[in-house]
Amino acid sequence: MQKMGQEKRFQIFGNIVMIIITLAAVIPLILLAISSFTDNDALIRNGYNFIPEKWSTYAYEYIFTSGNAVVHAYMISFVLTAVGTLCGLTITTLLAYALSKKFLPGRGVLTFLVFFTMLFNGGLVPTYINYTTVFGLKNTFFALLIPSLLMNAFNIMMMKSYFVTGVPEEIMEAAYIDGATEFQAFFRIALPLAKPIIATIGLFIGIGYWNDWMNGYIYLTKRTDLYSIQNLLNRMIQNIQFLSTNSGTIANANVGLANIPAVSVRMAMAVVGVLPIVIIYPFIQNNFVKGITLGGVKG
Amino acid sequence: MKRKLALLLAGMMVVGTLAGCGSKGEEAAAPAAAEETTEAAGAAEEVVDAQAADDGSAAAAAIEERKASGNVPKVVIAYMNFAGTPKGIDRISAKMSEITEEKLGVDVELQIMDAASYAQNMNLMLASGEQVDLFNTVSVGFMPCVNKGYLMDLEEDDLLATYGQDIIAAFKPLELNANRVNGTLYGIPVKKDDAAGQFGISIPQSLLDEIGYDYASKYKSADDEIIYTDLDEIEGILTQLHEAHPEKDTFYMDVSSVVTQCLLIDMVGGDAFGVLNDPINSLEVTDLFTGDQYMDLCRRMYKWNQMGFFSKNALTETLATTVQVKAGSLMAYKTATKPGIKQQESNLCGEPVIIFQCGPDFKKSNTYNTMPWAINQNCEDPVAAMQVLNLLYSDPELATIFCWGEEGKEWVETEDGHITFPEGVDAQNSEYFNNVNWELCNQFIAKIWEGEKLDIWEKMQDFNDNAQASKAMGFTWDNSDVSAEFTALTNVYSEYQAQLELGFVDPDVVVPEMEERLKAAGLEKYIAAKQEALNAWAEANGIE
Amino acid sequence: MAKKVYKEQMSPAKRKSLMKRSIPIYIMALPGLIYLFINNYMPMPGIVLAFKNYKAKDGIYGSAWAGLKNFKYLFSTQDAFVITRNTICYNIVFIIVNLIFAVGVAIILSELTTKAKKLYQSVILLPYLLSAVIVSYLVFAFLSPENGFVNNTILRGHDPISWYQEKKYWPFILVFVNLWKGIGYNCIIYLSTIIGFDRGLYEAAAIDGATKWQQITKITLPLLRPTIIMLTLMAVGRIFYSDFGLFYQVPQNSGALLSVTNTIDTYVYRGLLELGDITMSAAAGVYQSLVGFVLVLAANLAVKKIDPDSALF
Repeated sequence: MQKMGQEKRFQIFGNIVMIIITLAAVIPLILLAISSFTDNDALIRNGYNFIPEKWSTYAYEYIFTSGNAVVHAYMISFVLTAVGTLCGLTITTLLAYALSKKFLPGRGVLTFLVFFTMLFNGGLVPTYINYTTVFGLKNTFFALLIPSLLMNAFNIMMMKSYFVTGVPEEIMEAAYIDGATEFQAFFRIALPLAKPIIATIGLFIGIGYWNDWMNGYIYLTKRTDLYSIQNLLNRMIQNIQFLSTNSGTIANANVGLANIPAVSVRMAMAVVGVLPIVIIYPFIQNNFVKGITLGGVKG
Repeated sequence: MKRKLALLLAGMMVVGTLAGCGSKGEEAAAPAAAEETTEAAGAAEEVVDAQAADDGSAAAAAIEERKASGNVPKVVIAYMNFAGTPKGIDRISAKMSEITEEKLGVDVELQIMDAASYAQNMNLMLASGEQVDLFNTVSVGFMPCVNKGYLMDLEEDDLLATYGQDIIAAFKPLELNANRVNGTLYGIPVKKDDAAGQFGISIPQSLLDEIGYDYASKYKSADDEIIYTDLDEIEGILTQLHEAHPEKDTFYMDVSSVVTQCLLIDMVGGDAFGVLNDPINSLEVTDLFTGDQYMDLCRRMYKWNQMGFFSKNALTETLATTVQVKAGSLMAYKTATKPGIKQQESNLCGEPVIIFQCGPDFKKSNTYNTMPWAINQNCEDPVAAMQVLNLLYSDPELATIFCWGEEGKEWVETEDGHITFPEGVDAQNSEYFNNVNWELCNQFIAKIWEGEKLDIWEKMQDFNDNAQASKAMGFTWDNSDVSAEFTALTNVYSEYQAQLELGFVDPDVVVPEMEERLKAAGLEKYIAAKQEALNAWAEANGIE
Repeated sequence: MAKKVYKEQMSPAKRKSLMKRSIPIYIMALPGLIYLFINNYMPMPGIVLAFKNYKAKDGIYGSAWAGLKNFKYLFSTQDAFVITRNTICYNIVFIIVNLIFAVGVAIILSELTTKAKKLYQSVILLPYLLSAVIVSYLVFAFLSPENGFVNNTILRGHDPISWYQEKKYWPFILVFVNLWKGIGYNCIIYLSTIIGFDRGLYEAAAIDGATKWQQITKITLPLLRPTIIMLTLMAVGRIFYSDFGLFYQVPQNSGALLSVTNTIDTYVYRGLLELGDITMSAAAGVYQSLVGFVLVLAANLAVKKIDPDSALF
């Protein structure tokens, strides 16, 4: 009897704690969404609030009127994320699979080469010079796609661990003895078994692309029409900071400040930027947990 | 080097032919260059001013040789705006190239970056050796660029004297010399408002009418746009305004510009630690915070704050003052005045405003080197770059395109000689409307946008010429040796700045407290280093 | 070692078959290796920048050698101390706070019986997926001095706080934001480890009269120990690195906050892009890599001792 009560108390306590944490996770997002639907003047007068004085859809009208950069940037973000995830996932999976093959001569060296990149890098300027002068990526779509995001050592290591632990060697050997080629074995057996980690790494890569603003910031100086939604958001923050800190030295700084989209518009853009993640995430969530668990322990 | 020599040789040869055969040589020249060559040949024949003739013809010869060679070099020009690359950038580049190609045999390409990323992008481009030939140093910083060796010596091989004569003509020697670092010229200033009227106050006309203030009689002459007055008078107006509308904020000013725009002091080197408290007469670097001007200002603001002029939120305000006025929550704010200010502020506030000014017009020591144009040391063809720069300072047609875009697309001429948006075009959908003409070489020769008076630039020139100038005019301060002190001082100051300068604390109590901490952070060492640099500079430039 | 011996003993035929099997594998690895070469190894010689007196005119490799001057400069300013202190202290706090909360949440989640469990788990993972830019907008909505929710609602009637100017709050804000963003991700591994435990142990304990609290402290935590140790060691290995977005975007790059928000990563970035100080930031980068390398090796050694299978290499 006492135990039942104890269990009950624990359940209540646990639920309360989890509800608090869950609310903490979503409340900021709700505030963001509400402020994007708040009348801009009311927002300035009363500040961010859960119950706005006056509702307005102006921000979304502004964003989705034709000819506006936001819709275009949105398309760029989608295409970039789709292409980037596909390419990144392909080369990551292939390399991780190769590194998981214990019989492969030179496996140790290759693994070290991958691991080494986690520790040392040439730094931003040499990387920038490499991509702009050697490969001429500046001001092209490829500048968003290729530098740093396509593949990273962390993802490879995680996936490799998964292949080692989650895809038993014996099954692969059996397939091989049955006459399957390496490619066949990979596609028919290893890949289906690795679905959770592929979903996980795919989500990581996809999130990486969707959330990236650095590449656009650095490599797109002239083709700002290639800006992704994150670049637009980042640009607005930076412009506001620049203008408010330089109003003493740069005449007409307030002219520039007056031209920055209203607060509610900025919030609406942020909402638009989060939305795809919120929509897509539940679909891969199950695989995600399994992928992190099996791949993650081994880092 | 070889190429430069060849160029020089070719130049000399053309000069020879021109001087020798006069009009015959001229006929042989491409028609496009006719104008220049005539001038050059004429001058050479007259041999009145041998030096000038030589330079003029060398410039013409360079153009001549470039055109003869058949390839058109491209000069990349970079500057920043507040909206990122405009849609029409390629069209405007092409439009500008039409002129530069005809007159110089050079194409230009614009690179227009956002203020948010300009410094970052420029640093990467300069460090990596990408092509960018001419650029404005605003935001990137003139001294950092010099220190890193990014900038070309503009007088190397007499570059400026030979190919930039119109630039030389556009400025007084002092204005150019302000861009020398250790004697080497690295930058060309922008033609803009060089002085600023100190402690300007802007108040909507409707509010003054409401309290019955007779502003009309206060103007000295009929076409004046500014009422010159003092802070006691302003205090009276603000008191009345506050009584009439206690629910609104009476007065506000941006914290970042209080010291720079309210006091007759010169923050030599652009920081508040060691200033000229008597900049017109003395080169003595002294402490700002214990100076009378600063204390008086803080006491006045403390009084105003006690009287309820400031919003409770003033310390944390980041909204532009004009936006607050437009929204009806603010009644008066500080602005730096200049010709055209009344129109500008009225536009921003959405109603007519009256401008008062409580201090003199004043030119600071860094007026000419805050955002000079410079040539990248990596530039492949400095002659072409300099000639393009020269044309930007001297060719009204080119300057108009550079500032305002293409005729018919971005602007049309009105009957009285102004320009304005064409049908259906506005600031939002225009493909080239940057609003940064203060950065674009020489706006004085470009066409004038509707709303400005047609004689705005003559007025501006007068304003610039008549303003009182700091004695340290042209001094540049490199604080890299005392950068640790600088960081420490900035940290201390930023804790107190807003509270003191907006009158939230009693300066007689708080300034001594801040002073003590500043001293501990190395204020005296910093001031001494600044004074030493200033003295060395004064000696080198013969200023007493 | 064992593998090598095994290979040497192989018959020629076996070796041939091994090669035959390996070639397709190499082909699979190739695209990834090419990318690593382009993206990571080609710029790597740029590390020499840290030892150069860089002049744009002469390029990276043409510039004169400066020996250790850049490092000396880095360490003679106060910056080196501040950024090292910030990076390490924040990371230590993050490790501890995240550990406590992640384990706590994982235990609660594992014991809950409601259907909402799944929902909790999904929702708390959401912040992990948001970009630093978006997170900075969220934080701004709360802390914006004149419009922010906190100043306008919670502190209504009190003096507003200029959050982006006041240093003293930021260590807490950053720890909180980091926890908020990472808690869902951090608890997953613990949660799945706990789910893997033998439920029989708990049933036996319950029959013996152990309270819930006793079950947690006497069964769950001891069983979790290896996982906790390992994940902590891995985090220790990364103690010299910081989440750039958290320290740069979230404080809105505010100058007044620098002394509490500047970490090695943001310092390198600022030095590089805002101040154009290429060599000093390269030196800081090398400093970070070297110390990081040593720490990773040390952590790996420790992991190897505890659980050889989990070692990285």
